[in-house]
Amino acid sequence: MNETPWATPRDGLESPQIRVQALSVRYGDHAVLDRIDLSVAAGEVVVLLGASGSGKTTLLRAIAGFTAPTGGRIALGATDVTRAPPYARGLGLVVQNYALFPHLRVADNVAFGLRARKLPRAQIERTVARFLEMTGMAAYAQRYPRELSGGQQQRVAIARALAIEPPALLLDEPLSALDAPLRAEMLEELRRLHAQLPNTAIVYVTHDQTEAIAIGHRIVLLHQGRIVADGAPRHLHDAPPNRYTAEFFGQANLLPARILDTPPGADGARGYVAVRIADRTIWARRSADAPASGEVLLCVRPHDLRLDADPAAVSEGNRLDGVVRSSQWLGASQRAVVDIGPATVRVDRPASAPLPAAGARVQVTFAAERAVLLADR
Amino acid sequence: MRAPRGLWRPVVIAVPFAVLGVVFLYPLALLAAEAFANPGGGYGLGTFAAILAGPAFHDALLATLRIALTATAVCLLLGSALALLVRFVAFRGARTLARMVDVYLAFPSFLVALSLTFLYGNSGFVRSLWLSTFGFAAAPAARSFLYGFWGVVLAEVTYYTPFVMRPLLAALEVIDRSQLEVASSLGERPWGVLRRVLIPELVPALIAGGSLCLLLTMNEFGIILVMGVKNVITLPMMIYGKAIDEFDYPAASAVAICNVALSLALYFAYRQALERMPQ
Repeated sequence: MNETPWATPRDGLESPQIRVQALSVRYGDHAVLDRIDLSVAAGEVVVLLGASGSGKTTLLRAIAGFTAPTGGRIALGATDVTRAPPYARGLGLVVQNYALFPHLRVADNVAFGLRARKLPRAQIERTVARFLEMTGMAAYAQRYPRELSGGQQQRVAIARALAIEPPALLLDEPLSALDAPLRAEMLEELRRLHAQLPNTAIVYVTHDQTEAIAIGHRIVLLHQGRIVADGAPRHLHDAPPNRYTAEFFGQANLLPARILDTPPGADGARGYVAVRIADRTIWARRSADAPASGEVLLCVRPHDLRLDADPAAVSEGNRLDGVVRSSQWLGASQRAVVDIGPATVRVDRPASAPLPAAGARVQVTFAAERAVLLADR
Repeated sequence: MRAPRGLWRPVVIAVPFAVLGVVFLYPLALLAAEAFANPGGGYGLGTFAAILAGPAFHDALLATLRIALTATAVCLLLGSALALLVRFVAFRGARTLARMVDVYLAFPSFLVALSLTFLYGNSGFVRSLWLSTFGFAAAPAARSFLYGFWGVVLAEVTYYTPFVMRPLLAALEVIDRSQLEVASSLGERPWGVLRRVLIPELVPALIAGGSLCLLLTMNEFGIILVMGVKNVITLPMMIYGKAIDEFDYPAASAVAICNVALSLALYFAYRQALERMPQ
């Protein structure tokens, strides 16, 4: 994973393409969205990530104009569209099941929004040809949607949404109906399309963190109608701001720990904090909103842990004593589950390493810089 | 179920054909024989020639087509509006209403005619209300509109609109709502979404409902008979008159054959239309 996976957005945060302020959607006492604030800059790709029921789709539908908010504002550019109907917003929409018009040929599907705008015929033909070319569907212009595969239908749906040249493209789980290899191909395709339309903002709803990492400049993680994390994928992965983010994003190991008030040694000076886990002193970074003392959670990724059979080989650094509970070869890697007393941890190792036997006594070691302390809530 | 074997097989196949022959084909053959029999003996087109030459048949054919086409057109408009209302305008009882449509299909058609007579007839509810409110001086024509062309159309529309709604509701049920949302996001207003997405996708259902409606209204008999309409003679009424009032069975049979031919032609046109539909 690289820092910015692809083309960086134009600097437009002063005048965001989409601005959502204190947006709430309530049904009776139940808040589907609870005072959401979100800005999307021109050209920025923002992924709304979350489990089902987190409110991510509701947020997208509110931006598109299909769900009326019970509070807050939505602005596109300088225009307040909170009460504007969907047809007046001019946003491109792509949905999971493609929703192509079955009675129209591919070219007429792509022309749909242009005809709604009553554009001159020649201009419509030019624009349709351009976007069919861009999505690689030019050869299929005269086909009906039922004659296309799922991936091809989704390309047409994207061409149709882009043809109206919207300031922002809204994608609602666009790849969920495709199988895995096709999904990877379509993600690549979306990145290529965005490189050709660098000013188009993209709001991409998904429950799949792999997709989110692959496409997002920024990931907004939603949980129970609130934003629980908002940042670059790499940042959320390496320094999750809270427990939910750490668990949802990358299956982190979370170990209950207690901050030592009088840390031994001089490591504290380097910005690390000492905690106590299972009678061992462990050094870790502290996240921004972790408490300064008391009970915390130590978050460390499975692939940042190492296993050593011989305690003498580990001289210093973080280490915990454990017993291997199980191990499994997974093709590209292997995973071991290790009991370390107060909790079990998942350890991911290269497939070439010897598979540890269940019941073996091991040392679990990791670098202080790969461990982060979170508030336990 | 296991397919029948051996000796039983021809018997099992023969039974339905025998039943079909006895209850349907044989009477139809008798009817045809009657229609094609010449008065002097032998078979020919004499009866047809006589019927087709007279003005009565032309008038009846015209009346049948006018009533059927008008009623079908109104049924399509009303049925579409009601189906869209039930599907897209959320109101209490929309589901119940949709279910009642099914129940309605089980009613005999002449009951509608009878109830309309109570409402709009010469001594019906509306006329009584009018008389008691405005007095005799302002009373409308002595005979209600009910006993003419529009009365028959009203009764047929009342009864046959659900026949149009049924396939429409089924088609609307499977139309993906996200298509309508995407159309809207592409800049199309509600009326445009209806015109450019919804109606084109409902065409098969409209053809199915409309053809069924046209077939049934062309052959409608009970409604007109029960309403006691005197000056509207449709083909079924003509058959009834020839056979029951004039005892002219050959003429009745000839008109009936024409009526059947018309219905079959319409049915095949409907099948053709459905087959030509894309998808």
